[in-house]
Amino acid sequence: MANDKIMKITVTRYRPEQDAEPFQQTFDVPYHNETSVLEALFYIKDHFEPSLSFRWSCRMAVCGSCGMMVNGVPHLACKTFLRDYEGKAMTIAPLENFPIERDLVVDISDLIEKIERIKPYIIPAAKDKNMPLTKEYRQTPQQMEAYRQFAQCINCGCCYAACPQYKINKDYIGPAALTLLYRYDIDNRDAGSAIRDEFLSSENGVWGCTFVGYCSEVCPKHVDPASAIQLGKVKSATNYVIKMFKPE
Amino acid sequence: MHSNRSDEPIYWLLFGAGGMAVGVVLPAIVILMIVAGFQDVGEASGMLNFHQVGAVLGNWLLSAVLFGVIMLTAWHACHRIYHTLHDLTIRVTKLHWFVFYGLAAAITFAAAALQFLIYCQLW
Amino acid sequence: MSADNTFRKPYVPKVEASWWLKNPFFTRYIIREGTSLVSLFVCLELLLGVFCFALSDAHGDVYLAYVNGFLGNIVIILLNLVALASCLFHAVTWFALMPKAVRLFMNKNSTELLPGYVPHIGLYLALVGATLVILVAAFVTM
Repeated sequence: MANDKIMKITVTRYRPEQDAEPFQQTFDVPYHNETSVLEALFYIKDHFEPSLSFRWSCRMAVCGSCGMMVNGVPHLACKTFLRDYEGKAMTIAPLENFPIERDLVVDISDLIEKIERIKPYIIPAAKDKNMPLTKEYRQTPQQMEAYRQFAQCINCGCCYAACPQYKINKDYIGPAALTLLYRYDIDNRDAGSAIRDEFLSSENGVWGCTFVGYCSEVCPKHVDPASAIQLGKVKSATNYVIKMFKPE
Repeated sequence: MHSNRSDEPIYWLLFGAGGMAVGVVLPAIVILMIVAGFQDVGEASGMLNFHQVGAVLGNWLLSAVLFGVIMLTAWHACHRIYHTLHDLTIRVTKLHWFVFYGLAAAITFAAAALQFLIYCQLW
Repeated sequence: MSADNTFRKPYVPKVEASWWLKNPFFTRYIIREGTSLVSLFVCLELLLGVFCFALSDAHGDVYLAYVNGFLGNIVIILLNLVALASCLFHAVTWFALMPKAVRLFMNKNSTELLPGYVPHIGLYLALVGATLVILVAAFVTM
């Protein structure tokens, strides 16, 4: 790689067994037109610092493992290229708003717990309870298109790293989980809206959002969580007004 | 875990309507106030003169629209300020809530009372 | 499971009150939210005008003192210019986000969504329309 350009990359390190807090380490990394941030980290691990830890798997923006802060902005390392930072220095830090486990590895179990909490699966209506497994649910192309965009989430956590409300209040259910909640709510095969409403309509549900909009800005899969949350607010407010005039 | 149903929708709807009022109607009203500020306004001459504003406040429809703008702007602004306190990592309490939403309610009540009073006198 | 064998020591950075200065996007967001302070000022200004009007005699003595003394004050004129800029900044940010709260299909069977620019342009037309109507009406009846 003799003709490669060189980029100064500063990486946040944190070794729990010996460090009290994270520190920075800078490396000169050669790169060419196709070098991704993930490959730059491989290079650092292979040539300079074998102990550098980071999570990755598919290298094609499908698994959602390699979310990290690149120059302060949440990105998937595999989908971010050094050529787009040419002439600038690069800093790589662990995903914000999550506890740092080691180096660039964060603990996203809170995100996973919240996704589980909102019941992200089809809850059939009472009339479909005994429907045989061999029988399919009907869905028109439009009914599928209604939620398709919101179903593209890969749980990478970039939107949580971008969310000031989650930063300030860790009880907030957050962009990815609320988007998934809305996605199942509007699925015509699902009848779980009433069950999920306690999460959707709570203080820490859609009402914890102040429409900063950065989640949609950084989402690597263009899911647009901010849109799902605003639509969730409209749904929650509509339910509220209906209930005001129609007591049980 | 808070799972109780939030009363936020009611304030959010007022906030949203207020955001529309501030974005769509308020710029023109501010322009009128700036123009009036540059003029020597008399009883029946100049921008926002006494008779002109009297005609607005004496017309039930125009007065209701003005009341709507004042009220919705108040709810919009107070709601947003209250939430921004939280954004600035200030620990918001019930007291903050009463101060800001109380202010919005007070502005609503004052505008309604004054405009109703003016309307009745002019009628 | 024994807790003794773990070397885990997750590091949780403290949330700083100045978090919104670290990213231009967040700074813009806080300025956007800050326009509400200016809106509140305009709201109180209008209420003060209505209040002065209610106190006025048949020739509008108190009200005219409000218009010439208060609105005519150079400080208030400057504040109103800031308020105008603030309202327009609010409008731009508000209109830009509004399409995200709208998700409609073109017709009953279409899988094509109503493009976001339709509500976006619609809001700008509403702003221009309302401004023209109010200004023309105010200047004609002046």
